[in-house]
Amino acid sequence: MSRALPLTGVRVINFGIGGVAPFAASQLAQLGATVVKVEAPNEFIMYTLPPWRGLTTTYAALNANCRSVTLNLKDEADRAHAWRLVETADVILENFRSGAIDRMGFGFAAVAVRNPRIVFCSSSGFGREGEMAGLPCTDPHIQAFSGFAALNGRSQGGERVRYYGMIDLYTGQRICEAVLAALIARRRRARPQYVEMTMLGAATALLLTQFAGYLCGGPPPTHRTARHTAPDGLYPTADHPIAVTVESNAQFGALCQAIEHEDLRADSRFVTAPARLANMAALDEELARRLATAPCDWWLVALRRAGVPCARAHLDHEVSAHVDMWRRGNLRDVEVTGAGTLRAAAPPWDFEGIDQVTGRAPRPGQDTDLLRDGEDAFWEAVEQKER
Amino acid sequence: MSSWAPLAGMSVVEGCQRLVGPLAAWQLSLLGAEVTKVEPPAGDIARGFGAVFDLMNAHKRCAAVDLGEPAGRAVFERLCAAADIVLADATWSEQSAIAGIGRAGARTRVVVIIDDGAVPGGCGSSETLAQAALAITPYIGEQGGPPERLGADVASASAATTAVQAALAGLLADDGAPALQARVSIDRAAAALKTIHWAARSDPDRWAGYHVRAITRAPDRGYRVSDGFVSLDFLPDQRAAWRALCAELGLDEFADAVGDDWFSTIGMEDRIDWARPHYERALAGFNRAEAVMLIRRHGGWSVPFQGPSEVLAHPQSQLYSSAFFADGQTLVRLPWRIDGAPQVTHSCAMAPPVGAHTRDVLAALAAREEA
Repeated sequence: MSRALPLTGVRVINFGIGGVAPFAASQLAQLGATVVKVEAPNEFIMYTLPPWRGLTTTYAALNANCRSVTLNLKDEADRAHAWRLVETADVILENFRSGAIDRMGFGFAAVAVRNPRIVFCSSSGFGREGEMAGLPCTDPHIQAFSGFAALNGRSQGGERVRYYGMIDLYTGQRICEAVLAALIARRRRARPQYVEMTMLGAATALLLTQFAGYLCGGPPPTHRTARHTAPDGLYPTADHPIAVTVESNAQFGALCQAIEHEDLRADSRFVTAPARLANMAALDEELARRLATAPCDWWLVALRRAGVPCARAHLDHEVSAHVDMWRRGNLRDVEVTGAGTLRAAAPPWDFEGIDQVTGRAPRPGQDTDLLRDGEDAFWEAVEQKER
Repeated sequence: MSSWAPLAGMSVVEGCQRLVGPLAAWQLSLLGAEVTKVEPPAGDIARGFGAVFDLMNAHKRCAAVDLGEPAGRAVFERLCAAADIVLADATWSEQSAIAGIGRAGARTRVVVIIDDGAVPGGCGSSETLAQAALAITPYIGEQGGPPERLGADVASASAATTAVQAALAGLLADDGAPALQARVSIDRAAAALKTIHWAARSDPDRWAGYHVRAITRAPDRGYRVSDGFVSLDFLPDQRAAWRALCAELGLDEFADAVGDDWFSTIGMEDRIDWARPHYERALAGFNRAEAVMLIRRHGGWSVPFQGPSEVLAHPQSQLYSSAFFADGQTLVRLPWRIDGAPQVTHSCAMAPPVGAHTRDVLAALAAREEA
């Protein structure tokens, strides 16, 4: 018999909407927790394009492996249901505008009184204190504000990545990490845990590796200098861009040989790793000139034989159909009852000897009826279904 | 000041190079764990990466062990057997780590393997390779223009966090079974950050919305003002507020022309490239601070585009950023607060030289085994 996923038996209530909290909740579900989303009336993800069979693809992707109930928190009977869920939960997630959950009566202080073992995580864009407290924030705004955009592109000031949502989901990943750490803290010291995540905190954490030189006393990074090694970038070939990363003198030598430009090795601008980094632009120019003489597929073969790390710069349809994506377990199918199947990311971990959860996503409110039979029966039913 | 340290008293052995494993081990040290970094005698290849190496490794004990020699492998196995958490790279230390946690008397509770094998369709693995192979890079720059990687190490940061999640999950899995073995990778973690996009493109009912169309757009720099760029957004139910902003900016004619389709002209929607010159002409006389205040006064969403020095000096960063400057010192901390208080832990320092603590680490190991 397969071993159980590590969070089996942990109960999570997600009051959150949008991308951040639902993705965190979905990650906890993929680790084995039983996650119940209490649908909020302002769940804008249900209106985010593109539409899909009465849902949106984004709703299905972000709420994978969660359960969903619809409760009217202004109605007494529904509030009582919500309270009984909260009282038996290990974790609560929410990302309403600052203080809104308190006004709804389900804030940390109120919950901790009735459930002193709760791990409660609030998340927001800029936090509850300071001149930006309570300001709304989504991925494109934090890309701009945090310095993330400044490191992209070819011009001063940078540009945003147009596949918006990456910092949302990274924030969700850090919430998942924080909740796991808080569950450990709770074991060591039995008291409620209040975690407050901000997108500002997560975005700047995401940038620490590129901010490192500046933090250690050097100049701030720019869109031209955001690298750790050189050459390291994307280069045009005769047909299609290729990515190349060189991390050592040996690899640089192999690269020079493969592109038949061995005099580069002796060039004083490129003899050491720091020299290559300092003269990155000149090196990129030399490399681009050589790589433009043959197609990408040729260079992939030649560089692989030489042991130089390289990859084809794919488009979405190329990578999602690539056999390696499925062989390495990066993608999976997610099924929604009565709607069909979507392609989505797989859980980002494999655990030896443990089966992954089956890919499925709820329709909003699809588990509400189960709640009417009482909370004990509800948990039993949904936990049974997980297994 | 007593910091929140749920992993206090726990030991981590990191047999990893480059960014992912060392970053993950650093995140575990920010949670209170004590990290021993094991490197080959020539050092982690990231010692050539500059300051990022110091940032990630300054607070670790550094031991040098030659895994190419039986004696070195035995030492590494013993270190792994004595640790609570082990992080290992598939291309270098995995086999010895697995052998270590299988030793009699091993106390290891979780081992996380960083699978640094080839990214899809490639040879080898790196941040840039993962971004390219996973089709992240087409979302910046001009369509048909020179290809480029993103500045931020998004794939590595995501992979490091998945490694930490796996380690923490392993500590929580108290089913009495042997150490949990987990496997993560840079391409898998980058794929996770794109789940919205895989889903949007797999079977949409309409080819609409930024998730499927943004790739064909112009570079997104927000809106140019006199000293840089700002963002501009409203919610779908804020049409009246948007209309009032347009009136103040002298954009009545534009607002009348777009009519019911107003929402598609802002934020991430489908007509932003077309509408941008109109907004930029109207905002040309404002600087960032003025434009942001004006938009917010009308109930809209707006922030300035900032460079690294601006964000780290911003008053809000003092409160919530993961790094900030204070009293001439640089401090780095967890991205979240506990009980309303920031958790300050690390200052910036130089990493120890290769093998600086080998002798101490071995002595401590022997003492521990003795006990």
